[in-house]
Amino acid sequence: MNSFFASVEQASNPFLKGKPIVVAGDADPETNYARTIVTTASYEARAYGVKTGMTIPEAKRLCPPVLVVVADPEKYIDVSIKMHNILLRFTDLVEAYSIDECFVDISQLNKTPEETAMEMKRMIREELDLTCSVGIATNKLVAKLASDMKKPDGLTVIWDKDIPPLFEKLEAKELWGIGSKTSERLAKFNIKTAKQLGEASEDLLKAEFGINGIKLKLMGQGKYESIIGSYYLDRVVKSVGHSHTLPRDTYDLTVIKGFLRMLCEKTSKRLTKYGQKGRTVHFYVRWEDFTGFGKQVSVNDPTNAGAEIFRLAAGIFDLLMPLTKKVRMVGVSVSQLSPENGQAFVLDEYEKARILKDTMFAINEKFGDFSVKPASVLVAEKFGIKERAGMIGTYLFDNKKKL
Amino acid sequence: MKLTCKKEDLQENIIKVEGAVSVKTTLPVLNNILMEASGNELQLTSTDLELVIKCKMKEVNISEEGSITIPARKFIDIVKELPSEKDIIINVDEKNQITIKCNKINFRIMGLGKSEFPPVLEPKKDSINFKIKQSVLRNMIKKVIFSVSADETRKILTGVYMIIEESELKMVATDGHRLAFIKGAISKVEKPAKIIVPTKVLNEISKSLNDTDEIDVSVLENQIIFKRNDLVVTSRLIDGQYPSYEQIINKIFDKKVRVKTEEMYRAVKRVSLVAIDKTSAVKLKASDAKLVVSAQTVDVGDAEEEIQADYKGEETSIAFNSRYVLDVLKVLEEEETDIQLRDSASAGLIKPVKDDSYIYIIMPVRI
Repeated sequence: MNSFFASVEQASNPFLKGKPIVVAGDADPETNYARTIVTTASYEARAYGVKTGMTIPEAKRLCPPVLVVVADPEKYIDVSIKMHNILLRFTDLVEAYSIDECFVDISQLNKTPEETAMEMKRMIREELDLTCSVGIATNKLVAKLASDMKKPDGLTVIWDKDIPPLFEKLEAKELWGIGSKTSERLAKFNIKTAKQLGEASEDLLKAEFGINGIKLKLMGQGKYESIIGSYYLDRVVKSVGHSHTLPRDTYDLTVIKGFLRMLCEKTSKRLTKYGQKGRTVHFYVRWEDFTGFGKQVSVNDPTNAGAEIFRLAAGIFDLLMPLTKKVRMVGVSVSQLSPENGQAFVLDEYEKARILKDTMFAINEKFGDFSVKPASVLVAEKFGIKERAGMIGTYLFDNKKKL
Repeated sequence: MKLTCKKEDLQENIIKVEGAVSVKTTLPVLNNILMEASGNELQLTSTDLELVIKCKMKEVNISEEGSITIPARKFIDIVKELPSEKDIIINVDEKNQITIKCNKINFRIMGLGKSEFPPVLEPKKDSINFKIKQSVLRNMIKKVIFSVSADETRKILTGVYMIIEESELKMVATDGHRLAFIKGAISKVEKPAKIIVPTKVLNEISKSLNDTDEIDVSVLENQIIFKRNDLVVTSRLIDGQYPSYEQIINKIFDKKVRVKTEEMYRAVKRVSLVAIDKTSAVKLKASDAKLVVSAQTVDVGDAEEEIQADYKGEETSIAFNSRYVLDVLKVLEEEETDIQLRDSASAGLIKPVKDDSYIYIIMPVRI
């Protein structure tokens, strides 16, 4: 979908149509949007040079008439699900990749790929008043590349025969799945274009990237074997986690730990909802200079309690004391999941904690998230929470499960 | 250093000290066993800095006194492979080169000097001392040690809690979900002590305990020492406050189910074959004169077995992690076992019928 959040806002409010707008995650007019970040800019705003990731003051400098709209995740989820339903009229082989991106396997349909794509675009335009860019190819990797080539309202086809001339000039980092870290490592071996990657020695790539080396070489050749499963198949949950960028970088341990505790409680809530417990807790932190650190710890006894997840995550964080850089973001995730079986504790203090956790969960289910919470979360809330944007994927998934 | 000894004697003794040899260490000498020969005694020492095992081989033919540290793994492997019933001659030259000779077999390996080996601290004198029968100690360790936690992030529960008072030693072990308690007789102590002992030292001392006589135990500020004329095992203790356990073992249970230990063990083991993952449980349902053990896993199947039980009263059901049940049934030696229950959400107690000194408590899983 093209500039999805902004387009949805424009489609739902005629006043915003044709005007430069930005959608902002944590709009705080009191501080004059000083640290508020542009989540999405409409094409009208982009014409002024406004980009995702800028602060609102920066956007206003570039584009004085810009209008700031506060993000409304529920609205975007709703439109996203409507978009899925349109695609599902063609086939059930639809993979929701993000809130505004889907892969669809149309190889079994009677129409030509171009006809199918045009029809999808027409329905989305007529029913949702939105435009999208479609990429057609014989695999997900190249289709994703094609969809990014023409925006807005594009339709790009890359057949296998078109790949070699295209990949000759294409930078490797433009390929889906190759981030800045990987491309830096590739640059060490003077691999810059996709073609060079495809022609690189398999042994070399294996030595540098292990098992992923083979996959990288295939990617460089525009080959990528990954199937698109049915939309209705349950996604297997392998790990559950949350991360949060702090409203401003800080050294304040009370604040950082307050945020961490909040993330642990969210993680606990979702694990409980899925009926799962996990044995491994992974903690990561990103510093003010955008470098980061991550480490995990495993225990024998699976848990889904916020306090226990926090104890383990904070144990890792404590290894980093004293802090030498300000913290920008913290994150926690729990993996090695197994079903919750209601195993009780023999020791009083553990059993009390278990009952407390279950009671908190029940209250928060009834009266809303964080109706009751550990006091340390208050510190994080006072510091300011950029809450919603990061939760969209989760909501989408949880809602889909309910449907 | 030069000495001659029998292969079997040497092998038996190096295996005793093997347990304290470091596996992962930044200090290479900790991979070695310290050998010290004087008079007609060969003393072997190993340590990982937490645990020290010293053992003495008597009546060794020593033609030249001295000391050396020898790579433990290699040494043990070599001695094991040497022919039985033969004399082994060990000779160390001034360059720390060790020659191991047996018949026409010759090994030469490099050792490290004794000076590299960390000095073993002499314990402070102020200690609590008692004697305990080796067979009693071994039995007590065996019956609680499987209940400790393996969670290194909660160090306290990885050890066995020992309460030493008057003429009694109590041991407690728990991983949070089940708890084992046992008491045994010791010689009277002058003052009480409560300590948390790492399982490693208990496992190691267990291996060397025999049925003959008593062993001396000393407890110091942060150490425990087990001492026999041929063996000294010293370990650090775990610091911290052990959770209170008294009210857990003193609960009242109104339902008593008496079963044959062996029959129960076999039933749980069989039925739990369909309880595939670690968290899955076996369900116990007691009704007049019988106990039904059952388990089921979605997508796998279910199983059920009925065994004879001495029980009268209302029907009652409870579910336990099958491993927790098997662990205790495996170490119970009495023919009959009592399972005491209250309701499906409360703890269950398992104990030998005629012996009140051993108690095992398990918390249920949700039915």
